[in-house]
Amino acid sequence: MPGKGKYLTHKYIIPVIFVAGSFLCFGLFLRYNLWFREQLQVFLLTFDHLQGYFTKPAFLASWIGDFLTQFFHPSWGAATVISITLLILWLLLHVLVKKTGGTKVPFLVPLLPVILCWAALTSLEYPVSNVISLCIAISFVLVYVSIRPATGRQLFGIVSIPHVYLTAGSSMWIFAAAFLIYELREKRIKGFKSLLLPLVIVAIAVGIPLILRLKYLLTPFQALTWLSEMKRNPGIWDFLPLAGVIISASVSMMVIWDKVAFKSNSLVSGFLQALVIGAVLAGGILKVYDRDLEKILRLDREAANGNWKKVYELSEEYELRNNIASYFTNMAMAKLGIMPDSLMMHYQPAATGLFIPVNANENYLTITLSNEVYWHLGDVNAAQHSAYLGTIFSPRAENSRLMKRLIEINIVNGQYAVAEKYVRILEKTMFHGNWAEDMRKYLYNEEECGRSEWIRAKRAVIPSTDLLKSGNEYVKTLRMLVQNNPANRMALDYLLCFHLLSRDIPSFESDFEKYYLPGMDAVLPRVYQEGLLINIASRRKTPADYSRFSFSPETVRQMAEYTRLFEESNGKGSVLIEKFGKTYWFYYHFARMKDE
Amino acid sequence: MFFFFLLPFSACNEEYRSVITINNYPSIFPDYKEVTIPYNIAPLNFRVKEEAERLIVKIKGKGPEHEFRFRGNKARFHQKDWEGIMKTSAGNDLEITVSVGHQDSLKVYKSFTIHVSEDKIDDYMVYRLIMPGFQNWNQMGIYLRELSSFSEETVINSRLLPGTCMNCHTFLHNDPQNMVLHLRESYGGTILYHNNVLEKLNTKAGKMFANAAFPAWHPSAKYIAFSVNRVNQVFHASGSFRAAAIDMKSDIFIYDIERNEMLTSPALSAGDNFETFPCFSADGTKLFYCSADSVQMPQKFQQARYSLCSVSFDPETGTIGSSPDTVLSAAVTGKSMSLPRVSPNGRFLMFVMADHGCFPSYNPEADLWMLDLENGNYEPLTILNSDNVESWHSWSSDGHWVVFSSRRENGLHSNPFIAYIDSNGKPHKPFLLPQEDPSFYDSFLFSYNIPELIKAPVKVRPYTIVKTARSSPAVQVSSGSGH
Repeated sequence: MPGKGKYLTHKYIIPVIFVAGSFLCFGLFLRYNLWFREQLQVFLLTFDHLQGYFTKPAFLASWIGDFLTQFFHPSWGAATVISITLLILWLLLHVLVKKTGGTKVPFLVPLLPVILCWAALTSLEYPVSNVISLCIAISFVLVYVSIRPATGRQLFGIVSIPHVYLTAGSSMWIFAAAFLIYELREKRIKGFKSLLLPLVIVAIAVGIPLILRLKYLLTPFQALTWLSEMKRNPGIWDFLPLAGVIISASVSMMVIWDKVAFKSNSLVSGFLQALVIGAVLAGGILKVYDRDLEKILRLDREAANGNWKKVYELSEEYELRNNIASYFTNMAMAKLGIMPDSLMMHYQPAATGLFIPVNANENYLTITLSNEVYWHLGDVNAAQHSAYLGTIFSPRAENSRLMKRLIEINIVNGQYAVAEKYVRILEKTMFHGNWAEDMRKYLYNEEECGRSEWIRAKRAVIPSTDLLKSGNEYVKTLRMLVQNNPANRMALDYLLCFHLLSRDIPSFESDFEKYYLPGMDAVLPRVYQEGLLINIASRRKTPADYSRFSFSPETVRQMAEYTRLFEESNGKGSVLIEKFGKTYWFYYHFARMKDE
Repeated sequence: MFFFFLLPFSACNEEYRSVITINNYPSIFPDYKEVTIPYNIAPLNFRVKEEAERLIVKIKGKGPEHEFRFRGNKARFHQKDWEGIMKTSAGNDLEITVSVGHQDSLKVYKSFTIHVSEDKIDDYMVYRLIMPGFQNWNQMGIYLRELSSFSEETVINSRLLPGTCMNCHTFLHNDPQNMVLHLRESYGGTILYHNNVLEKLNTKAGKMFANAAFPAWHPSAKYIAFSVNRVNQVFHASGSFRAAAIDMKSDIFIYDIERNEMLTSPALSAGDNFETFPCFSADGTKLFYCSADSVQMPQKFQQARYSLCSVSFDPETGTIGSSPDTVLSAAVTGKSMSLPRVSPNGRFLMFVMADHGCFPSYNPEADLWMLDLENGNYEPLTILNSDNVESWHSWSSDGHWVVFSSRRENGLHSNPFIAYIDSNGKPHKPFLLPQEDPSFYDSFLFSYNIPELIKAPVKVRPYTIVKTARSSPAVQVSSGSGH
């Protein structure tokens, strides 16, 4: 029975390959991206939290999407949720296509929008709620096409448009398009009346968002294109899955497949369709998927777990030329105590690889990460400032990761009432509740705090003297930390490396003289040697000035050779790069600052 | 001190094995014990700070006793039940008895009293909601809350005007028919609603170094006093103080609405001094403001102490007096005064006193004080104050109620508290703005800024404000006398 075999191919093999493929793709290649996505929300299974979703369109899709996003927290949770969601979308489309176009519709038709969703989901800013909104809209279409009496069906269609908008936002356009096309296809109404219904459909579809925007307080454009709160200015890839569903539904309804000579189940046709699907998927992923971001978020994950050795190993493996990657590499080097020896072995985008600026020009990804360095340096108040801003700039002004950090900060600072507020919120979450409950023991309990190693360690480095500073005043921050706690080696290395990476040799020398004590290291770290040797080479200092520090003879010899080559080649970088590309001297001479 | 009386089965509480009478008040949030409330306030829903399967609340007023039973630890009254009680209770005390049922015992707490004032509070409150993040913002808005219910509407928010900071909403005589608010950054300008006309002003005129801020209406509705400030926000490196706002430079100007002119005088824009936070007297013949000698900023910001000053003003001619008076000197108090607000009857002036500076939101020691303008006496409003910031107070139209923001709950988020002030200026214990869910404040991450009481809803729709804000260019204010 050849027919049965083909049927089985469609019914089982495609979904199985599809689910397996998406599960592996999201589980293996987007693990860290999806893990990070979960941290950008605080989902509470409470009525009050649900009420918050009614303030914008697509309340049901957003609520279900955010509920499911919680499950991105455990390993493989995200891959499971996404692959099942995509499968549901495919099943709904498959049923719709079968119902409206019959069994001869190519399997490409229902699969194409799902592929577009797959590609879109590889972006950090495309939430799973967008897929849910497609599913809701298709479900409404399925109910609509199931109603046989024309009047009842049309009535249901008209009543459904606002409901689809309320529950699924701009996926309402799927329902409106399906409604329009299906009624045109049926052609039950003749004459003037045949024009009336399409006009009514279009008027309602356009009118409902424009009327409801007065309640939702959206601009006309926002109201007509509302997807989710995740992205304020959605781009073309955010709308392609929606457009794909409309096209699929239209194609299945408009074409009379019984009269088409196209054999959708033939081997050639199947191969061609598979080729198109593969091409769309590959093209989409290439366009949307940010591989470097995934690597950066892996560095972040390892850093969050305190695996600094792993962070450093991955940095070496990835060799990313990106300031956020450098931010983690530098933190790992400082934590491992190798920063001044290995600084120039890695890409250094000046001081932007040491700190992530916190301002309105940054996005929520970078601001979310920006507190980490302050926290590890011991500037708890700056970490707090950063964490607040990260929360403010998160999609719903909620961020479970930063809420955890704020709990830690406020416990360290003894601001228990603030910490308690955040603990109370996180306790109601599914995956952060246990962590929050564990933190509760420190609230108003100095004895318990005293027993905690991490709280003791953080409190020990809090500056004892206060200082006023503006945001992003890095040098002031670092000097304060070193002055208050000369044993804070990470702060000292950051301070000196900050000057070096800013090519500010006088400030480097001044702070080196002030805060770096002889005997701190058996041999002066490499980048400090190289920095100080610039002073000697330029005859601002003599070797005697630094006699109390131990220089490596090899570094001194290299400096002489670098100077010789530099002079001989009249400062040609191409002559020096091979041998000295990873020295501070080369950076000093040839790195271009952003404002240069 | 607890007193336990173990009782056998009680007829009215027969589901409990034991009934324990506790001679202490119940611990509830918000704390509504012994407060004075207006009869037109929304239900005072609360939660007990202990585990409870059942809550029984008995309310005894002038009429029959009402008993309410709730599941869990939250008392949430129905609007109609509450309104019924309020209707018969104006001018009387309500005796509230809270019983907490947990497992097989019922704890009956000592009754507490709520006094229901005969004086009505203005029906609405306008406030800004913003996350306490400092330096930058993302989501903020100005909202309107009906005080007799839990209904909240948006006046304007940052979704409609992305990248725009909105603040300093101010009304004349608590009437939204005359309203001013500021927009900064993306769609910057001063939004003025006056004589049923909404317009956007560019207030930077003549020698003004920035746009106008901190407005105060003249009682005639012909003028608005503004201060012009260059503010620098800085952050504390350690300790529980998170940030500070520093007044680097400030002057005061008076806007003549009809002539579209900014007026000033050397008294209000002296080069060496800071002048800020203007406020007209009730009769409009005097302008109160805060002034400090210039000190090196930001290095010596803790030495900047503002005195409360006044200068005469002739509303007929728009003439500003040339010789300012010091009403309350920082040299005498050793403290810094800010945010003067005169009561509608003109007798009292409520202000904030802090150790230094003029932006008390960042000074935990900032407290509300009252100056009797008849006799010059001033004293702290102790019952209104806490060990954290109290600031941004606003009188009701009849002068019997004030709303102010306080960070007392956790030192970070500021919440609106309402207090009754009797005819002699005596304050009564304040209460937190009630919310439908008494746990609302437990998880609400925004701060209430600048709560203002008004008599009617703001009639201007958000989209009208948006349209005006986006219309460019704004009406340019010209420089008048004194520039």
